[in-house]
Amino acid sequence: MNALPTPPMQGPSPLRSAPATATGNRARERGAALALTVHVTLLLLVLGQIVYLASRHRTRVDLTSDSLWSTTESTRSLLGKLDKRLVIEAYFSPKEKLPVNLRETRVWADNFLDEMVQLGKGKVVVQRFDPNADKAIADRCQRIGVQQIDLRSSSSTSVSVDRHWQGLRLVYGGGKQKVIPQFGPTSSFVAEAALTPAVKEVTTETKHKFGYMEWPATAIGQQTPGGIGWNMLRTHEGITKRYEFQNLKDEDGALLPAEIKTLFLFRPKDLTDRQKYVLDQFVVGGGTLVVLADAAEYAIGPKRSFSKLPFTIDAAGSAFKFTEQLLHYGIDWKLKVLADLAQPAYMPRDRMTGAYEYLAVPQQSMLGMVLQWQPYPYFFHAVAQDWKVAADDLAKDEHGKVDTELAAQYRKLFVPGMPSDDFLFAPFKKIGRGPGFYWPTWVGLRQRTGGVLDLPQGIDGRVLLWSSPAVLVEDPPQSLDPLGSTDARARLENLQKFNTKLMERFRGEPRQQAPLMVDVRGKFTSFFAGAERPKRPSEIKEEEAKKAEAAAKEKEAEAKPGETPEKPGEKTAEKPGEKPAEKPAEKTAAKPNPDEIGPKPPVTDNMLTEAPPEPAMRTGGDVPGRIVVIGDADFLRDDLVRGDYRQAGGPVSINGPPFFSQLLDWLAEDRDLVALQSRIPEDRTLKFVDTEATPNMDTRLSEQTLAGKTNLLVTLNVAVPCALLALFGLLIFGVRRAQKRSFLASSTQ
Amino acid sequence: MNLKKQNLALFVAAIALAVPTTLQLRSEAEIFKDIASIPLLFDGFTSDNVGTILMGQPKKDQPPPDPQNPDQKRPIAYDQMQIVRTEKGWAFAPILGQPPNELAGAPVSKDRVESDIFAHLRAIRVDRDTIVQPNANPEQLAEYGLDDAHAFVFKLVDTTGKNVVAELFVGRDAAAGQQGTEAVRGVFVRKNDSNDVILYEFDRGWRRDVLTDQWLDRVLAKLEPDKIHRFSIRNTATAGTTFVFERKDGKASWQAVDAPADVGAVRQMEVENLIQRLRWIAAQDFRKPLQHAGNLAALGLAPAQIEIELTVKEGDQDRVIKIAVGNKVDDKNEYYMTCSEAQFLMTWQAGYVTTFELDAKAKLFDPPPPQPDKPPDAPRDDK
Repeated sequence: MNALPTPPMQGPSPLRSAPATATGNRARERGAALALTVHVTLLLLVLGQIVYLASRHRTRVDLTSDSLWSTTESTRSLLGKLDKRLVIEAYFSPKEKLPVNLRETRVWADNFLDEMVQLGKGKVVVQRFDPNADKAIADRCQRIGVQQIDLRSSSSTSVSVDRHWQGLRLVYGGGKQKVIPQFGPTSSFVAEAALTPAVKEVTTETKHKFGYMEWPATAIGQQTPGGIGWNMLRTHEGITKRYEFQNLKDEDGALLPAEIKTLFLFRPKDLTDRQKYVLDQFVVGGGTLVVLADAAEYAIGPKRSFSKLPFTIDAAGSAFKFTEQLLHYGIDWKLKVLADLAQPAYMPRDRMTGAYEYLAVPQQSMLGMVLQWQPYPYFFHAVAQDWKVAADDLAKDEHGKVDTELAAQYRKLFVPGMPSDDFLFAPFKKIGRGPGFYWPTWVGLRQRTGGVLDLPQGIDGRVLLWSSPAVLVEDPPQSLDPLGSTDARARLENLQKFNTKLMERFRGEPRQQAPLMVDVRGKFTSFFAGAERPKRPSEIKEEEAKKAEAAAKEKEAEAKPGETPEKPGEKTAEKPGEKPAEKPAEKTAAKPNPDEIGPKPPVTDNMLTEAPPEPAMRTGGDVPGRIVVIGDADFLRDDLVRGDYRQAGGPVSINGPPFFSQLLDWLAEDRDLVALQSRIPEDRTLKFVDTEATPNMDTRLSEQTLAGKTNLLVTLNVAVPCALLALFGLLIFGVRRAQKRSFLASSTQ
Repeated sequence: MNLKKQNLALFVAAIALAVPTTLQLRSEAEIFKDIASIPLLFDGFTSDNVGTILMGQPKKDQPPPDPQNPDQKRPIAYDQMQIVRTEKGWAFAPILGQPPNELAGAPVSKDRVESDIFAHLRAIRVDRDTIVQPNANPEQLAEYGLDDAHAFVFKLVDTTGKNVVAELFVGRDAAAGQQGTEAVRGVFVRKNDSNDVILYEFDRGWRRDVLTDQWLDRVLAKLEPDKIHRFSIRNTATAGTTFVFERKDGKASWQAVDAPADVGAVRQMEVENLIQRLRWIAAQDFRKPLQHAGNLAALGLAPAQIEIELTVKEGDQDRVIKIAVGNKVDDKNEYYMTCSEAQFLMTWQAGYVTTFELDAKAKLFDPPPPQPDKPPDAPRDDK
């Protein structure tokens, strides 16, 4: 046997090492796969964490120019002023159980509540309760007024009702609460609009008190006993939670109580001298008088007859005129009716959906009967623009030539429609117009001839709202019905005739702006100074009774000529059959009335004591008073605010309610909600033709101008990008061509 | 960077992010408040430990300050009421230093103690996040009606009389000055040893007063008629004779014990009607303890005008209830009464009394049966 020596193994044998290499590769592959799996898992984990945390801690940047998505100063200042704890109990169902539409609102609600907590700096606490998880909480919801949202879902085999909750209760200082039964904001603005006034309500501890007197309008064709008043806004929940109104219309004309600092007169009429005296003493004593004045009363009714009803400012037999009284204080109230012929003044804010704000007529269209707005210049608003811009247009003659001298004069005279920067007008300036007025009247400042202000000494005044310079001032006509027929075609013809007539009259009238709202303040002197104080009706009756008594005595004395007057202390001898002269009071005491039944009531001390004498007339004020006169009362009247004539085509006062609410805040100098109420997005639509500024402009011309400008813009929109692209292409082409040339040139060398 | 390093970096990042993620998850998990998790003001309070309850309402007219020392703080004068737990239930107790209480020892309504004291003490919770006014100063306490001069006080002492179990000050109504939906239905409260003002809201009303007649338990006995197995009555109409009725061996029918010879069978319906009238024995008024009642004969109670005795089966034992009715109270439609259930001179409504003024012999028994020795064909008297 040849035993060949076997060389020692040097390194791994190929026969033995092959399986080992395969195993190593597999291990490496497994390791790599594991590492990759771990990598992917970790990556997913980290990404998930980042996404989750980012969704909870997001940062928002409000890029809108009007800061539409940021909390307003109202919310910030209200929450900053809290001196007690505001607890917001949120009765919410879990978000994951909500249907999709509610889930979105929950996001807004949660975000806004969190923002309130941050702004409250420890004074605002939000607690979330799930009523579906605890019956005690559901019972509490029922007790406090949070309402559930029951959503029914059904399939072919089952019907189920899912109960959800999304209501809030705000409790301030433990003593006052406000419940929002269902809270489903669709944006932060909606959330703020609902919550901030609620915060204001609960934090209002003492309500500002307003007095009022009203003279209801005649209700034509309506079941409104007592007429149509101004009750709706006064009793609106948002107002009654913050303000208190007290009716001070006293038949006996008692002077106003001292605690009343502001008095509203809703369309005064038939004012007696005594009532005027009461108002005089109120403003001389430092009160604030707000007059919503109408020069005439026009019936509206279901048929919109617009005919004048009997209406007088002063009661029959009154010696003093209310207009003269106001003139004494520096206010010039002309008993005229105004019509503004500038289109921006009489056009509703939204012609399509709010055509009924002024006057619309139902007309047949492709979509069926629709309300189409029709121009009616007696219903208009102040426009927030400087009317100097219309000077040239208004100074044009028949041939369209501008009278430069006249235009310069107009530029001097004309003022902005809403010149005041008071917060009352801030939201209205944003929408470019004031509230709509209906048959308004002229209320301005007292002037001398030549238009020079002639305010009493120590009185400051300003006009807060002006009409456009295209105003027509006239005595209240008997009828202002522009339609006059039930036939649709005839109505439009009548309307056209009506407006043509107005336009003709306007051409002959001077261009002027009519003041629509005025504010005077200062130490007023009494209108009744030097005159006898008007007596109360009860005083007059008492005096008449005394006179009658004296006359009766006299008559009685005349009837007994033989009798000598009784001397003091001497008793007159009674003749048989004759009755002694008795005082009327004694007479009544001695002779019981046969109609009286039962024992007489005992005479009490209260009956014996007379009412305290009225304070002497204040002839001059120690404290500054204030008078605000608005040249319209209809825009706040119940029927217009309620929208009674909406179906018929108007008028409906759309901006009256917010104006009244702002007016109350303005009078009470409460600015808390101003920023919120003023948050109205500015109209940023492109206006190609400024036709509204020129009342005389032919509409066909304006349409042509508009069409021309629109076409030009469309052409530019198409042509300019195309031209730019072509230019870019040419540039590229040129550059490449140059590169090619240089390359070819270098290669040939 | 190779995969290993990348994984390491990712792992570190995942761990780092896990901390805020966990915190966030935890905070979201607690997003809804569980009412049961809000601590109770009197944690661990149980009515079983309470032996004495003292209630105090500050008097409207507080004594004037001492003119010699006007700066000295005067103790607040209270209208007080104290009730103690007795074997029979809650009863009025005299208060040291106060004028003697005529009703001391009179029973107190257990239901009212439960609903107007214990239920509220068990329900008040104090949420640190929503305390109306933490650590209020004296002016703030006065604003909430929680200062000594205005707060209604509940003081509960244990059965040993040594330890105060709970002491609660109740201030003004939260809804004061508010109306309608604006009003919060609750009161401000605080513990004796704390100045934290808490708003306590409750679903039902909370009567807080120290008027003893409002707390008095006028119900002397509530009986189940079928458990009454013996009933006796004696009144002026029975001429001193006591008529005794029994239900023997669990039977439903009543039998007369030692019935007079000249009466017939017991009228079951009439007796049952009387028993039904006694299922709810309630005094109209508690006058004074019997030992201070004076001459009972003058009130027609010695001997009594009407005496009623009931034996009621309660478990294995018999409970005997004795009622004695005397003369009519002047100017009132009530009669003097004593009852073995309360050692007080009481009054009973006339409506109940007249029921028992009946002639028992005539009303509770049938007429005697006809004489059996009379021949059936004997001529009748009317013929």
